[in-house]
Amino acid sequence: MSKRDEVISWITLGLALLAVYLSLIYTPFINEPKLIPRVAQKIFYFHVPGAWVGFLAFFVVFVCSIAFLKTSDRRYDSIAQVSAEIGIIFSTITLVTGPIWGKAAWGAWWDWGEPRLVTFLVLWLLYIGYLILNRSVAEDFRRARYAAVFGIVAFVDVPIVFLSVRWYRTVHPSQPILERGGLSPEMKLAFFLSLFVFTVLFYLILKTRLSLFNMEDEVKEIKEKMEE
Amino acid sequence: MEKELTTALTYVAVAYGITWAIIFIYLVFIGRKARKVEKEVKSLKEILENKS
Repeated sequence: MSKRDEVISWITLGLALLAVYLSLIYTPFINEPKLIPRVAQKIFYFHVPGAWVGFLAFFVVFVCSIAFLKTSDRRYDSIAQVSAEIGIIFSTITLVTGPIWGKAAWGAWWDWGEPRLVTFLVLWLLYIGYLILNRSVAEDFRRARYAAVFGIVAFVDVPIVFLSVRWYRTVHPSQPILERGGLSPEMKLAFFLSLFVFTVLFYLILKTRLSLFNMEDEVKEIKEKMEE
Repeated sequence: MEKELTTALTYVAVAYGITWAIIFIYLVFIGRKARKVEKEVKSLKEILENKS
């Protein structure tokens, strides 16, 4: 890790602690008559940024997959693989914290009739499939091409997840809350700080994981040459 | 009232705990992998040096 990235990491850690403080203590409760949903709404400050980073990571997979099919440059394939892995990690956060919030707000862990939940689960499974595909085809160039096509097709689900709450009347809170200015300035500060921290975390993890991924690749190549 | 507050705070604490635990575990996983690859590079270098 470069000196610059090390400084960014420490600043991010400080901001992450600040984000936890702001979201848990500083922000006021939402207007809600029942106590449990009113307190549990605090999950929002990490649930939504987790989804945002998931979408961002899958967008990187999508762009790099197109770039790979156009140029056949292995670097794009590496970035796509690493980004998908990180996307799954952050989507898992959303997928786990969502049911906890749902249980507090609706009284149920999961609702199969809720399009946002189901489409998000499908998205998560698609990228698990993407990683499995990347580990199951032996011939490298063929594997990368299949994965690139899969990476492009899988991304179709991202706008579906995003728009599902607009297309269907659901109980899941929708993004128009933000657009309608439904958050107080304190809530906005905590939310956007969390969003920023998660995005910087994505950048740092992507960079670190990518250099490790390239090292693993080199080791593999050297071993293959030695065996020959 | 007190029981409800405890329940609500438990939900929030569990959600926050899981969020940071997932990130932490992933970072530990990357760190362990990095150490493993570094060891492999070192041993490969030694093999190549002995060959030459």
